[in-house]
Amino acid sequence: MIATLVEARAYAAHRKDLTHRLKETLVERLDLDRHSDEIPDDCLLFGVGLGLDSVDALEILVAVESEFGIRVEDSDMQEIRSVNSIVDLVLSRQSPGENGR
Amino acid sequence: MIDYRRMRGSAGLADLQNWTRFDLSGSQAGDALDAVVGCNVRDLFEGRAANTLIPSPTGGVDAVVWVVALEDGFRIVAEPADHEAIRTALVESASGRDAVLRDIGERTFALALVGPQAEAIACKAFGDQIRSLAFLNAMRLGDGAVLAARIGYFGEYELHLFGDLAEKCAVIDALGRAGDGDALEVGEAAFPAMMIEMGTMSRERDIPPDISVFEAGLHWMIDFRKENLRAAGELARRKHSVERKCVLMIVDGIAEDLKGQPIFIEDCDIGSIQSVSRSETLGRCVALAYIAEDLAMPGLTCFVGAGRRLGTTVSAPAFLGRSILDSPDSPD
Repeated sequence: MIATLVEARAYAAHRKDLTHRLKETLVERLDLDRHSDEIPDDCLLFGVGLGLDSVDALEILVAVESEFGIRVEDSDMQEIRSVNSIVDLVLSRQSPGENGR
Repeated sequence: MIDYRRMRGSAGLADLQNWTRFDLSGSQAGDALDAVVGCNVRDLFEGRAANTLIPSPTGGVDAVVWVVALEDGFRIVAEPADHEAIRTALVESASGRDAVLRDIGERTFALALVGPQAEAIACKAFGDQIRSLAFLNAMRLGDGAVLAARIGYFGEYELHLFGDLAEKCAVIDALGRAGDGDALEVGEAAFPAMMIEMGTMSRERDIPPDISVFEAGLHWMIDFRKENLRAAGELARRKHSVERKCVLMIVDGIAEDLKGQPIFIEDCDIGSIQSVSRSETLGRCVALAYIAEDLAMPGLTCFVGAGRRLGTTVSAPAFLGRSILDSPDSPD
């Protein structure tokens, strides 16, 4: 979908807000020893990235459900890869009015 | 693109002989390095590696480097184009300290074994100890003549091997035999596409001199709590003056025609393509672009160039490499 410039700016602002909220949630729930600004949006959360493990994955799943009010299914675990991929998932579950589009 | 297919589909062995390699040793080597690079070198203990950068005096990027902590100092590894910037910065920092900088590029080899089958081949060649070598770690192999480091650029399993030049043929032969006779050697032609696909930045190709660390999106490579942070004042100033940011894009069209092209939403120019390559995996072009800060998010659709080719900003990596999908660390 081609957005107008106004729509694109609204979407980007909404996404930026979601990204910030998610990072704050991850730092708090996973007790990460870093400031939320220091987590790159595209950093892989597991293995080569932040070095999180499968236990952390479950904690992230619960945190995302409670913080953003969405249901995360087992089939969505593929999307729990990076901050950006989780935000993609959250946006895909929000209604058009909610997701800035 | 046989090289690309090997590295994304099975395994490829790249000769990185021309890449930058320095060793920094001496009782104050850590201090000398810490004063130059963005990461906190004091967090690096022997056998650990970090991806970091050398900030420029104006808050930009002088070099993107890998640092590996060794038993007697540090190895600094980077792309060829960053050699002089690294040498200049480290010579200056080592001066007056008990630190010795050695350019080891001509007397050592550098190889990278890349791909979803690379770990199995390396284990067959060097033993199962390779399996215990996690990303961001390094170990000596055999009698210690070869250093193996899990550092990376391409979003696949990557094993970088360093050693005396006299050992190079033996290492290549061992890997060739372990590969069951399949040709492993690859050139560097596929590197740009593979790096852009993963959002991995090359200083020379992807970061113009006027772009700040924050605009490049590489601020995560810096520990801003460091008291001796290079260009700290300028970095603090530029943190609050970000006008554009680097984003990964997938774009229709021919790569050669897209480089440097402006990006539009409606008729408003919001940025331009910095680097672009054809992605064989996606069947489209992947690009790194600098666009207006208030729009620099994945998920935007826009037009590129006078031909108004369709482009979309996406999360990096553009896809997950097979090495990552098959990893036991994968959450699913």
